[in-house]
Amino acid sequence: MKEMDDKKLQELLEKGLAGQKAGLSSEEAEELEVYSMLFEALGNEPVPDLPHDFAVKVTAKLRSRKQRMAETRFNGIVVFCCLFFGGSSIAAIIHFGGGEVIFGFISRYGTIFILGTILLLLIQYLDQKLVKQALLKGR
Amino acid sequence: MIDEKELLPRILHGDLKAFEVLVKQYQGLVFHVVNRIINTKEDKEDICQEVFMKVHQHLHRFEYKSKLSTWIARIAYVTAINYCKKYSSDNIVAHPADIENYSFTEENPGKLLDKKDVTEYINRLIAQMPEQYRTVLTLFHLNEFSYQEIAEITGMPEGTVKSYLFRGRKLLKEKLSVYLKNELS
Repeated sequence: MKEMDDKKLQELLEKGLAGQKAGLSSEEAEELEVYSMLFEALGNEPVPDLPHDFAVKVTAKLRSRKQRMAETRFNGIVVFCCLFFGGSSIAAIIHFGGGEVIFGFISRYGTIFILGTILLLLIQYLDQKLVKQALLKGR
Repeated sequence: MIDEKELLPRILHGDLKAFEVLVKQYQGLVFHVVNRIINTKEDKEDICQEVFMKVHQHLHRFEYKSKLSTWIARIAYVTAINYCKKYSSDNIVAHPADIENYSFTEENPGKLLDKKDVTEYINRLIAQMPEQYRTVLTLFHLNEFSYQEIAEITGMPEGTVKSYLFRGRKLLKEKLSVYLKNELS
């Protein structure tokens, strides 16, 4: 069969005109029949081989990824705070020799530093807790 | 049918329940695309999951310029193709243009089937075809995308899509004719 005939037959089927056999030779009508079978077979949807809880699995994976990211962020901030305050303290002690000045400073403003650190950690903790709650609500 | 314009903002605001609805709506489409490109059964689910993770991650970039299904199918296609390129280069045929001379490794339906099952036979033939043909046939017939949408999904020119579709069908029709003649004789 010529390529042009195949093209014509495929176009007929694409337009949903499988029944229009008028004007077709017997050979073409036979080919149209085979094409109709082919189109029907191609349109038969295979059953997706996915578990019934696939969507739940995807969202669970997203949740754990989000949680991991939040935890990483929290840990990063804690490490940063520790390094910053620890480093600053060590640098100050080294810089000021015996560290009398820094100890004097700490004794004067130490409470603010400690409260500030606690407040920061508390905010992070609450953020974590609220994120978890929001995630649980989303389930 | 879901209302995407209502659903998408909810997903973007972190509503995972809404995303679950979207996954349920499009898991069939994603599976069909992945299924035709990936042959390993075990990898299919993982890749489908990966597709939806990417959909969630990049959803803010979706600008309603195309249908959401086209956009998701594009992600599924690219993810599956990249996976193939990375792990199983055998699946990607370098010269799919020579389809007329394409030889199927298992084309004898008598050996393949116990009963007359055209769909099963056709699916087995498609599975052996070059990836571009498999994808185009699936997107057009199973997912009912237009030529233009298939071109958008696969990145092929529209003319190439038409050509693959025509030649793929012609080849399958020829095999089916032989199969039916053998059945009748």
